[in-house]
Amino acid sequence: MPPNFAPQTFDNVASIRNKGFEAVVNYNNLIEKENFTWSPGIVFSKYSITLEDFGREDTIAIAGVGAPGQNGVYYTIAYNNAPLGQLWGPVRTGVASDGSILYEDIDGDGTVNIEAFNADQKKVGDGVPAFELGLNNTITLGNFELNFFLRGVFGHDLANEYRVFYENLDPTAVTWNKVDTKYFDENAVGSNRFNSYHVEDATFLRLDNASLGYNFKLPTDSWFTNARVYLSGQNLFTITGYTGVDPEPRLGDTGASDNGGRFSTELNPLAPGIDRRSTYFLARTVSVGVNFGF
Amino acid sequence: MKKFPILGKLLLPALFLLTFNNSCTNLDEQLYDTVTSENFLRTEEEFIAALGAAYTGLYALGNHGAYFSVQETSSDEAMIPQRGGDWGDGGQWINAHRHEFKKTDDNINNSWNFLYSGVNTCNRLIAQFTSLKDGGNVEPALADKFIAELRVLRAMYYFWLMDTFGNVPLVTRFDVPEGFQPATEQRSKIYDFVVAELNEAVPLLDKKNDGTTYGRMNFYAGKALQAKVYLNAGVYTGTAKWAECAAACDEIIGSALFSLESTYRNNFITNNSTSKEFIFAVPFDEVFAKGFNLAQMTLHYGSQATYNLQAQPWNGWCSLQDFYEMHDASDARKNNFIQGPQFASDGVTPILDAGAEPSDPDGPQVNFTPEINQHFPGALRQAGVRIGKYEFKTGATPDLSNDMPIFRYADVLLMKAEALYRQNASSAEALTLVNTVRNRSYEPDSPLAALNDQDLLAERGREMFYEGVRRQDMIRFGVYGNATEFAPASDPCKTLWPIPTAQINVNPNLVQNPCY
Repeated sequence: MPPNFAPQTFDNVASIRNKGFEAVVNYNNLIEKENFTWSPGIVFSKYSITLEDFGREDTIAIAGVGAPGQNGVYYTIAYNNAPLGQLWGPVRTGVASDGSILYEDIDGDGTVNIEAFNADQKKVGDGVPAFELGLNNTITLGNFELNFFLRGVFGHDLANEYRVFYENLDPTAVTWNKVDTKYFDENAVGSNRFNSYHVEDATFLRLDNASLGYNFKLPTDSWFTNARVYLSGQNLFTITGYTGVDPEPRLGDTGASDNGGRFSTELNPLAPGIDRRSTYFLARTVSVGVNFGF
Repeated sequence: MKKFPILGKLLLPALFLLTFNNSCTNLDEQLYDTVTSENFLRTEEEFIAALGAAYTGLYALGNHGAYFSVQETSSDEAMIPQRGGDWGDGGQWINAHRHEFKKTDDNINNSWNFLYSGVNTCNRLIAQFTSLKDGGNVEPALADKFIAELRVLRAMYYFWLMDTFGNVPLVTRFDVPEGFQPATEQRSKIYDFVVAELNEAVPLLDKKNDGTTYGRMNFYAGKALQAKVYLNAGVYTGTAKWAECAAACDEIIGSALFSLESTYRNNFITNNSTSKEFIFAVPFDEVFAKGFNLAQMTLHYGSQATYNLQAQPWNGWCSLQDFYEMHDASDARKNNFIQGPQFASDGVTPILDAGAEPSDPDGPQVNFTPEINQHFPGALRQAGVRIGKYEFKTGATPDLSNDMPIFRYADVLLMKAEALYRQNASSAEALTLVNTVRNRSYEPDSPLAALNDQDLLAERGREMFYEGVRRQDMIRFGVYGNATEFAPASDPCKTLWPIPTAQINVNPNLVQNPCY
């Protein structure tokens, strides 16, 4: 509203409350034998994110899906005292014989108006995890030392944007490779439009890093104080049912990247739970190394 | 220093003190590398530089998504069908064409933001210039000239607001109190404001019409705006102002500064800034003034090869069959449309669309057909003649360099003709004016024998295609609510757009328009 210096004015209009619980338990040498030690550690965290002091009573739709064809379509909503991360959209109930997508008449008024967030849309997912768990382990056996960090994030959903745009075999889709996941349905040829079907449980368990080392026993007159060889790796495996590129929770949104183009590097904290098309693959790294101490 | 150890020890602190004493007396700096409120906005050039902000907002007219797009797609001359997965966009383009505007549609809210950001920029600059003038920092006559220019530009934004949203808040100040929430005013009150502003400020504008006033509100641009306002006065207030419209047009015609270009097309070529028809234009440039994306908006993905465009077009906008067929074969303005089979830039290699629908009757070659199989969701990718009114330069970037006229001399002639015709349906002068414009596009001439409503509207449609006036003309001629090929008949209250929900949410003093 007028008057303003610029089309957009930045103002502090709300606060975001992160509430949670984190517990860390490390046990140094839970098992300690002559040739064997085991030091486990566990990290547990659980949190929720709430929008507060929003200064307005209405609901706003945020995080636009974008071009092609989905400008004016949004992933999520926000309102005062709302938990953030509610993915919001129409609910897909099936595919009609002509290939168009059928949606649930949520407000029960006899017509399906999927474009109104207060009519035939509802919460179709939650971008904030139920809890996260990390397991840290250090095991030594003789001269061997094994270290690994196993991490799981549980109970969060992601809108898989690659599917949002490129799953249906609508006429436009033949100019790109369809995204062929277990959800792909060749009968669905209607237009792509974000809906409940694109929201997936992204619970995962991942071996973030692991290293295996061997410490050489050195003669007392050695040049070195220690010598070690090791093999280590990052992102070694991920167990998940999520079909997108990366099941990691997205607590901030990079924004619409039209036709896969540029995206913002400033994350929008009001829209957790969106796996945008700009997601790139995580690298798996394996390294071999030698350590000498003088 | 080794040679004069004692001297050095004494001399250095003395020099030090001297230097410091000196500089401590006057801390004012002479700035050469920075613009400050002290040294800026003194000269005419600096005023013009500051003024630029009021005009650059107009670059949004060249893109899709806001005011200009809704004006166009809600008329019978343009539409954006939903082509499968493309251009669904939450239904906003379908809604606009069917006059089923939703108060939550992005294009409606974007229009509001575009228009009020124009108003606000003008208010801000007017406040700045006024305070400079009042502070005695600048020659009053110099400031007054620019303030008048801004008032006329602001009047244009309010004219557009009145034309589209109708009942809107009237904000003319910049120094408003914290939490200011202006209330909705009746359309007639906005009309009165626009008329009064133009009456006061237009006479103060520059009567020059050259490179220094190009793209700016000079006297004649103000007069053209005045003519437009009076032309549609009956729609806004119920009281027509035909004589006033004709009088404003006469000021422009009588100046002899403008004339029809020899060909219609000259107005729309890439280097069109020399057009003798432009009274007020938005000067676009592919580097310095980006935003005119018409080639992207309308051309087929494959048309990239026709014009060697630097980016793939978006395959959206097209015109309608009925509108296209309103042009007979010898009308040069039929070239406003790109129609038929499409070829690469060599002119012989057909452009094939790997994504052509199996149901496409003529196979994969891109062929812009006048007929459009359906509005949504499955319009064929090639359906619809495309908007080729502006030249698409070979090798163009997504931002075209063609300038976009807002007021054009041919429109002034047609406005005057309409004003005369409304006062006297058999006015010979009206007929002559219409035929002057019409004959330019025919070889040999093809004059109309007499005027009637239908012919006049059609002639305006052909001449003014894609210049953002069709919706206005249809409303004034009383045909806006009639059903067209893809739009059912609509209620008179749909001539106004809804006040966007996003705006009402932040300002409860806004009143929603009837029937929304």
